[in-house]
Amino acid sequence: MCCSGEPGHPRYRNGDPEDQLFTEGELLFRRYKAEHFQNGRLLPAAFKFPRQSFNREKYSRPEDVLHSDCCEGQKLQDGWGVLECSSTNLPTPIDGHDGRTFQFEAIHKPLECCYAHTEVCCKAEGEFIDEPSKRVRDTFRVRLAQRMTVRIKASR
Amino acid sequence: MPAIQVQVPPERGSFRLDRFRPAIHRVETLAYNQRIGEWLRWPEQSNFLTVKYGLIDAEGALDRISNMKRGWDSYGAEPPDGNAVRASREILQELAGALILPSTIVPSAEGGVSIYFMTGHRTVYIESYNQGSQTLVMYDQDGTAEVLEIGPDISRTDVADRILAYLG
Repeated sequence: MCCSGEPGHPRYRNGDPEDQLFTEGELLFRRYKAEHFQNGRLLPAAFKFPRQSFNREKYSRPEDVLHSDCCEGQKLQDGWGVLECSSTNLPTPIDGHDGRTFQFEAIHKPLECCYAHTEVCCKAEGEFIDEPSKRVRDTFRVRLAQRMTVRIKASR
Repeated sequence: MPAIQVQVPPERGSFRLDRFRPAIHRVETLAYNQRIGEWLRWPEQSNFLTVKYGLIDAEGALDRISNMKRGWDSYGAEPPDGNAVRASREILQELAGALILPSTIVPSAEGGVSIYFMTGHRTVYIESYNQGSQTLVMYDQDGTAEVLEIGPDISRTDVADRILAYLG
């Protein structure tokens, strides 16, 4: 995919390495659809599991997540807003009730046209786990939704 | 000299309903009785209409959701497929029978349909996935969540009672 090259575009990778150092309180940004925010609450349906995508604050402005370079080239219309949460205050750990405890952490996964791209990954005993039980998955989605706050309100 | 008629106050004590009987009889026309009958049936009809219009709204939401394209969430989510929409429609009809109507119905980034029921501090959702399974999730504002797979963990016929018990 070609990057847009538009003035003010999000930071591109340009061969830069990953940066796994997240400072205390560094924010993560994510776009959301207006319909997923109801009665002052973000609905867990806004998140898939695993590896939810975000942009990290160190290399991104909040509005960059709405830019086509960070949306696989899609030009978003009205109805989108931006959420934020702290990368160091994710809802972790979550007890799997199967003897395992699941940890969640932000991992910098830069994309060519979106250097700030970051994923929140699930681990147990040091291993990446993409399919824990439904109980763990939905508990995480619920708690993550509750930690997100609106940074840019979606227009309806 | 004319006798003075003393006005004796009505007896105090028990309420004498029979005093109103003539007035009640006067309004007991056929139309009146029909109106009273309709009035007494009103809560039942009101529930019927609430459920009927609630299901029409839900059907509209499901129609809209079933026409979504891949990547509708801009993060590559699969659109809800026919299985998820059908399963959602069925459970909505069952819940409507128990007078439970959804607060909102949205596509899920997991690939499926999410039906939400909300009260002040508590939320319940039923997620119907494209693969065919369904999950009932109940959570409060502290993030205390109970996750039940419909079928293995809770029978479908018990879902309505469980939602009512949780939301109060």
